[in-house]
Amino acid sequence: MKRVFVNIDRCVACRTCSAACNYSHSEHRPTIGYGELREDVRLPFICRHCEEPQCLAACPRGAIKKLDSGAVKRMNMLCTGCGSCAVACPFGVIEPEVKSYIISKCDLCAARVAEGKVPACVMSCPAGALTFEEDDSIAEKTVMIGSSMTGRHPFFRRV
Amino acid sequence: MDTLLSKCLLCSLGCDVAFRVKGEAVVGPEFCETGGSHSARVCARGLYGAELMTHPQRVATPLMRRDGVLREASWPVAIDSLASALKSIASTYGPESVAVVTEPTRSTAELEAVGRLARSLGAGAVSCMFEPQDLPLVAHEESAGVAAVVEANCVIVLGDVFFSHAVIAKEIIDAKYTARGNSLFVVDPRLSNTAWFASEHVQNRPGTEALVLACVLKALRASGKMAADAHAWIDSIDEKTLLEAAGVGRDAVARMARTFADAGKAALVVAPAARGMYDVALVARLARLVAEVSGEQKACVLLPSGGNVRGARQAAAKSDWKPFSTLMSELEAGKYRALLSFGADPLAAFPSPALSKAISGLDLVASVSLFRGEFEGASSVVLAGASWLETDGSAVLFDDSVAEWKSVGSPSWGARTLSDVIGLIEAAAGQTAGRPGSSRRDGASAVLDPSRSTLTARIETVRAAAAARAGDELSLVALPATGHAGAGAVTGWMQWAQDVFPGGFCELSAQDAAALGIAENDSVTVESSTARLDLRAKVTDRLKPGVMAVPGYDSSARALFSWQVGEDGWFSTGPGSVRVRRKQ
Repeated sequence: MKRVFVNIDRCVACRTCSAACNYSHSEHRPTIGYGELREDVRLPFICRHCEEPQCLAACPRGAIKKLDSGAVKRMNMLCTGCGSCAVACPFGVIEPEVKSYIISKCDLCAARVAEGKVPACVMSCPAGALTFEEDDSIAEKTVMIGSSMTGRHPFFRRV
Repeated sequence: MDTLLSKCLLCSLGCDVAFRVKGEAVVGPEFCETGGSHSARVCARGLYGAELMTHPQRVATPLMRRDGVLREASWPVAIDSLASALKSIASTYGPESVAVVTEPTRSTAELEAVGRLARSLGAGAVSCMFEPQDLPLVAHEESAGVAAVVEANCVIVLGDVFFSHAVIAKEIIDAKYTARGNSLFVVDPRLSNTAWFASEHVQNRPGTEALVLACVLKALRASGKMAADAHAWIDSIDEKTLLEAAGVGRDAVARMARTFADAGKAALVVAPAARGMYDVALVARLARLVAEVSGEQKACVLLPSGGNVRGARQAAAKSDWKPFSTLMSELEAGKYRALLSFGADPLAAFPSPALSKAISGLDLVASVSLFRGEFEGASSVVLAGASWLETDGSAVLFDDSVAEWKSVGSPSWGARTLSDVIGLIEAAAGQTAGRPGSSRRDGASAVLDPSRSTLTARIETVRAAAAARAGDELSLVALPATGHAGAGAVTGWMQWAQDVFPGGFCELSAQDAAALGIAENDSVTVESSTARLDLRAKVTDRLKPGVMAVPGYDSSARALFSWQVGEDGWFSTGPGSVRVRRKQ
């Protein structure tokens, strides 16, 4: 499955991904939030589309489904906006503060991906920090970036 | 649904932007996957630019002040009233008592049209409101394009370029990471996000970038990287006192100079914030010199914050516009009776009690604007204007390349493009011109000649100013922003801006906070010679002790900075000086 991969080494905290997400899904707030680890590291919080999604387990209406592609999708017509998924998400990427009955949830820009494009956040990133890649390559890179980050930036040791 | 291509003028990079259009209505931004100057990449400001056209708070119809309140009026009534007011002022005080001002987030043709209107009115002054750093930065210096940064082995950045011009982040990060041994130096008093990426962050005292560059030149000379007979004045630089004033180690500067000179390809990027740098013209001159003398394939990229700064500069040079600083001094001296603004909001960009008083004392204040800003609060006539996106046009970008675009849609609601409005005013009031406007040279023409001793004198001035700071006051620097509270003053109206760029806070170093008994999120009173504000404190390790930062895009925080008009007719700013105490 392809996922959005965040290269923390390149993120410049310009929040363009958040803006792009907002416009691509104009019915709800952007699904990309921002976090700070101390104040040295900023990074976008993007849905991981978990193997075993806690949001799916928590949803009392069965409105969240895992598709064959691996993407975790919310069904708009079933969602009552109860916010259970937002509480359940271990990464805090689902925002409960939304229009009535609709929870904002990343759908990996299903419409764009179906046209052979990459998700809007990846398309827009000015720093090249977001990529849309297969799982396998992510596993390798995550380890590599972790170690190179520690070596290169003294700030990461303090966090 | 169609996709229309346009350009973003919210900073000088001039990125391609695309919009989805359904019939006449702009639905939202699209990503230009066709390529262009920066391919599909646009920063958050550019993406949200679509909001300019559909913003619910846009001025939709002309407004006229009756009984102290702005009320809606029809176009003919508003134009007639403006024309008759102009006529009566021209007949009483003479046409030269009218001043006209515009701003650089406009196409070159529109700027020239403003100049033509001013001429036909016989106006005493016409000017373009730049951010204080923009005009000195571009006035006499050429800039290399973004291509200079691509494949560079060493990049030196002055300022927080990832914040002010986020779109070139990829080129700069690529330059650092593509080959082992590549390096990125950032000279900034604040540990900004840009500085965080640096292989070496040269944390200077606020405003002393010129001194650091002078020391780089001296280091290049000392290490034999530049010809011994060129620029003899460099030998007279007293490196020790400059480094002391800049608060930078000699080794760090020598390392930066050596790496820059030894790199196969290198670039020096200057992107100053709107306040906080002494003598930007000198910084630009020295940056160009560093690139020139340190060998082949070295480039200097100068990034002003405004969209069409070079185009505005050309339009100004063609028809003898006044520097905005001169216009402001003359306004405050009571030289004019009427002020016509085409998009500019001087009260938001240069907030000061003297200017507010001068503008409220005028007989006629009229504005063509997208939003009801500070200036519109003082205007008696407000005409509904349009942004650059709603008209065809062209602009001259930071590297002198020309960007052209087509209109994305006709102006929303009842607004009209600047050219249309100018046509209407000309038709109604053009006959008032009693005599042609007197021709005045642009005062900002003092060319900085590197072969003369002028540079040494100016470096000494900066050193003296940096060294003379009072011990118990904090130096104030500004976080940068483009097109936000400055010349365009448009992005501040968008909802996203309040989320992404919150205002009302100040950053303090942990040492200063402890000494002053201030904790995170405390309410503090910040007082400078020009303003007094209550802000929320953020305790940070981004700053050295003795330095405080406020957001440069926050119009109220800008009031803390004082400015004077320098000898060369430009704004002379530099870091502010403030006292902070915890609010009881």
